[in-house]
Amino acid sequence: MGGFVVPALILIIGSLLVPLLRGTVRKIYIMALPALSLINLLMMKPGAELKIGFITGFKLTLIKADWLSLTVGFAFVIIGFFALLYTIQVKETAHQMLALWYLGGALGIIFAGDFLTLYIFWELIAVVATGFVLLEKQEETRQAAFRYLIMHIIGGLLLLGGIWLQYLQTSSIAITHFETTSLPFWLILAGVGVNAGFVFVHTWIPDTYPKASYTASIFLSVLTTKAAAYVLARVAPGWEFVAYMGAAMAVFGASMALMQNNARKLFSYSIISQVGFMVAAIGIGSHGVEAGVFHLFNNVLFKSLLFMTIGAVIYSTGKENLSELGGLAKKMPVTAAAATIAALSMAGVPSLNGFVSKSLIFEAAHSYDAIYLLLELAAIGTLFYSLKFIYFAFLRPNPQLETSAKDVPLNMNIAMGSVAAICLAIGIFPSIATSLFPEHLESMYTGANLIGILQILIIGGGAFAIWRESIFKPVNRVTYDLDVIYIKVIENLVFIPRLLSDFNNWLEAKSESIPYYLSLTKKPVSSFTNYLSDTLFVLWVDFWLFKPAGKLGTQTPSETEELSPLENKLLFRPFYWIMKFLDSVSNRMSKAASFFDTNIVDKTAEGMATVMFSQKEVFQGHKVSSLANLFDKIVVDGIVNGVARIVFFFGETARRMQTGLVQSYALIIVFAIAFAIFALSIKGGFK
Amino acid sequence: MKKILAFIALVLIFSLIFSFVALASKNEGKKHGEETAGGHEEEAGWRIPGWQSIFAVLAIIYYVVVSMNILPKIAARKPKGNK
Repeated sequence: MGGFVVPALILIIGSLLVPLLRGTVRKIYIMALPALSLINLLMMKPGAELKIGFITGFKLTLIKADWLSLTVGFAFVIIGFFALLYTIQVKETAHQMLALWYLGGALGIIFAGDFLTLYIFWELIAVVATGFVLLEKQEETRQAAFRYLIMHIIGGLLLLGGIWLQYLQTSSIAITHFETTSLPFWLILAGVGVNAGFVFVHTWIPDTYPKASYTASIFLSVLTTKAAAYVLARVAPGWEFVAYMGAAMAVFGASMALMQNNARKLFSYSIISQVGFMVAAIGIGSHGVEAGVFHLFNNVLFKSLLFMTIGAVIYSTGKENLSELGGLAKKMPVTAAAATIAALSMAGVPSLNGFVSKSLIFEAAHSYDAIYLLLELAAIGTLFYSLKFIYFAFLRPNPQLETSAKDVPLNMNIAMGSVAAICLAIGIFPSIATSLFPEHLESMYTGANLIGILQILIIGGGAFAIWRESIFKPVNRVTYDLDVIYIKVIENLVFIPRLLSDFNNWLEAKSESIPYYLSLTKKPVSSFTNYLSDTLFVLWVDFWLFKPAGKLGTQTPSETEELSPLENKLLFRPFYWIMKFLDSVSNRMSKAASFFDTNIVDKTAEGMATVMFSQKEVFQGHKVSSLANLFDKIVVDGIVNGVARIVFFFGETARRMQTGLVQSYALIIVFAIAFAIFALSIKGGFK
Repeated sequence: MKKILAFIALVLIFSLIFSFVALASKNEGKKHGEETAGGHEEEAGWRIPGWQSIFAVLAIIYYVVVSMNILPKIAARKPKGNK
């Protein structure tokens, strides 16, 4: 060990002292933790590695440092420091602790040298981020947090499945990039894709981030999606599918962002778009990976700065809808200047950091015409929504806010001013951020690049200036997302469970009144339709309740419709399918046992009796037949009914596990991690 | 109407200026490339000087049509209450 410690542990273990401290000491202590992490990273050189014994004979690689992990690690620690400075006035201990855990968990992912370590920190940040969202105690935030957790449980399970299969195939859990397509690769890609915000599984981003507190959304906006982009750079560089997915994300995010009125929802779509740039670059591979990672570094800075500025606006005015804002530049000059720098940096204006990394991405995409043009299209969209934010939040006259708004505390201004200064510094001296890169990057300030970007800036900017009060004017509306499409499809398929349910009722009416577990053997068709109809119904109800239209995805709590007790009950029973699965297992096992009973045991007994009778040994035949009958009743029926009883018991237990409490589900994740460790340990050790 | 004409004029003026500057820059780049590493990468045929200006106009049409008109119609509704 070269004098450094695990970056995640400094923050996670260090946070345990926070509840014991008060006042200025606590503030200084909280700021000292990311500062210590930064010093720790400075002491860590590329090639540094730290393995620890985990379970007898096993080793986890907690640190595997190279240019990639160190660059992203620096970005996270720097922004963590300024985000904590910005939120230092928050009195809630839980907020500060969760912020430190979240940052620590993200650093854990970045420096993980094996998939198991990565998975542990992956689930940690999912749980911590859910807790972070839940700090805002409103009903719609609670629902959004729950959907967030569900999405990340699904993503985490896909990732775990991929890791497990990868281990079975290669006997290794080391993080490596995949050269050939395989099921583990697609599972890992899907799991990471959920966190990165791949189109179609991105809906948790605009659903959750605008509903969290303005301080929490700064951390949320930076860590989860960027950590996922980092993992993509590790496992899937140079994959064409990833490149096209990135381009699709970039255009989709920009198209959706432009129609938003809520500034944080606008920035949430902007996250999808900007992560799309990174993902596209990573998918292109070669120099694209460096360009993507550089954009990740810059994006961490300017995106968190944008969330800081809108946070300052919310702090000052209590509003975040662009249609209600304006005129804040006079009252909040530092915020306005920081927002302008951040937004223009995101738009790729020369002399700011976004320009340099975006130019590198375009350079990497030079030979991919379709991706190049899609990214160019997204870049113009970025310019529009950046200008929309600057103009409607700060520049457009709004006499009411010009008098009533108040400036934010000094710590917030210092944090915003410092991050803005870093954006500017990296824009002028990119080598500050790229000093660890394997190859020296050429200057992006070439005539061709400047001419290209200036054409877009001037024509796009001109269009915005001309139509700012007509076409680009923000309109207050509730927007939906792509999940509406698949929810609509599922909604329209409700006739299938209903039909099956009717059929099931008809079968039920014809059957005898016997215990449920025995009925499984007597009416397999009925129990199967029962299972199918129930499962489909539950799925349908889940999706219907999770849909953003109507009650969800709204912009203000007042628009939220109340859920009925039944809806609430069903909404918080996502593990209902566990019981259904066990039901299905019992059904199949009982059917198999019933088949064995009818066709093997009974037939054998009958056959033997027939043979005996044919030989006129009536007495002997009766004895054998009675014995077989006894065996049938005690052993075979015992197995059949016993299996049904046991599975029924587990089904009931699983049903009771559905408490509706997020803590319980978090516990299930912990158990899943423990199970993963146990399952991997059976195989005989990590390599 | 005046605004549309003003915008078209803006696009034309900048396209013209940028086309000349881009052409000059490209020639300069070619010379530099030949002198140093044996020439620049071959440009795709559609990347004529000033193509970004044309593309910017197309992109504006895309966003006006898609983001400002189609998407709000299919993926948005008016909020309830006095908003």
